[in-house]
Amino acid sequence: MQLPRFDFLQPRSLQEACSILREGNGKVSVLAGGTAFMVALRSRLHTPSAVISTKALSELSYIREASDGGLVIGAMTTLEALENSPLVANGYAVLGQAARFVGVPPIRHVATVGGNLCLDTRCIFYNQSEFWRKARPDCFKLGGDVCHAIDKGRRCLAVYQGDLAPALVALGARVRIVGVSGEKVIPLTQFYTGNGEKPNVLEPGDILAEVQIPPSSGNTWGGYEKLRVREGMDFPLAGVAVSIKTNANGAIDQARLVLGAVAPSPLEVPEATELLVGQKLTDSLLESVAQKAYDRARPVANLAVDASYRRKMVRVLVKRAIGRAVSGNG
Amino acid sequence: MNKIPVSLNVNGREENLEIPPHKTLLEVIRDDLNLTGTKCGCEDGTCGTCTVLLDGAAVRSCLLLAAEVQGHEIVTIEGLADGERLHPVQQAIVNHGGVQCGFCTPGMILSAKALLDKQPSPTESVVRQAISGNLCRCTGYTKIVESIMALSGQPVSS
Repeated sequence: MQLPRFDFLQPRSLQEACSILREGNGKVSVLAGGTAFMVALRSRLHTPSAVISTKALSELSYIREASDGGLVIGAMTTLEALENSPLVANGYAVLGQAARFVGVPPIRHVATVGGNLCLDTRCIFYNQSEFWRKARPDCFKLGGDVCHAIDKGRRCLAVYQGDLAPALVALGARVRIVGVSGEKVIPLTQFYTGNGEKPNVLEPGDILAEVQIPPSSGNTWGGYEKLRVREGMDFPLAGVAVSIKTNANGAIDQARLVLGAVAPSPLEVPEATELLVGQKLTDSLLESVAQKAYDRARPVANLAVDASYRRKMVRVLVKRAIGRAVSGNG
Repeated sequence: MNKIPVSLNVNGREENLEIPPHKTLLEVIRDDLNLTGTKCGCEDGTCGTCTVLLDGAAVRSCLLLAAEVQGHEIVTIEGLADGERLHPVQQAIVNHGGVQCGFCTPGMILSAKALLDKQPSPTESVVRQAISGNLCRCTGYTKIVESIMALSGQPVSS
């Protein structure tokens, strides 16, 4: 099926891109890697009057050590660059793992960090052809006033299915957002709204330009695990990212556990941090942490796999992710 | 309908086209350049049968706008053979029975070429990962992997 008609714009700078977006006031869309957005265009989930391709904005493609010893990553950095980066592998392993879990090599060659973080939320009643969607009244996400996933549902719980965001939240990342009237840096947790209809805080004219990760110390370990239908390529049906820092005695100094694909935004499990910090890892502690993650995760029946199975798998994936982190494979 | 000028380098030839901006690379390759070796499958990035090489790397041509890839080198399956002489990956696929219905074959061959150009002696697991984005609904993976492994000089596990 052909794409809907639109004009094609190729701005030469980030500022020019922001101006075009602002003037477009919601009718102009950013096309980054395009591996998800082209599919949304084809099924007419978006019908912009113009798309601006940011592929030529090489100023946004970099992975560098920051002045504070952390890491900064440009929004147009490809996932392939991320998975192959020695800077990422050295201290930010959970991010490299999460990148490797996205799609397949040809997808990761073009898909970008910014695009992955700005992924729209997804639902089996939303990500369908126009023909399929027209057979039912419009749901909340399509501008209507009904939810097809939950009986008498009052708000949209479409799922944020990005793999990078849980890993980056576990690493305490911030994002730099550039707009027409300036720029701001906010924690990645505040970038997501928790609202399935509008998953992030970007307004027309805003572009997510950079990811900033705080410095990592030598004893930081990471693990990412995901549930998917096929091992080869799929969005996560549940994802777990963990970042753990141990001290010289082998006890845990810092820990962050973040779930993906069980809610409209990445979901942190603060109870896991409380349980883990100050402790050495044992099987029974792992079991308690997995239980806390299970308690937090409340997936609903809006993806291709049963919600209760996704929830049960959160428990399993937490144990695998922590196991992967502490075994040093992360 | 408004059209824009787009210059593409496909299989070493400069093509100067006037196309609507919403046209994908896949549509231009098949409909404007009549290079129908590149197949159209799922159109959502899942199947990999539209694979082409973009500056030597395997990509999905259904997920790229033609206008986005100006100035880059594109190679389709038609660009591999040297006259009547098949490219080594094509010949290996023929020799080892790597073709069943043939619909995934162009994409498989280009994914394999992209890998072997970068890494001439990959292990079987690297080969399997490199073609993980190409679905074969005849499920003829074993013979396809054997074909590529014959070029790698590495042992096949089974």
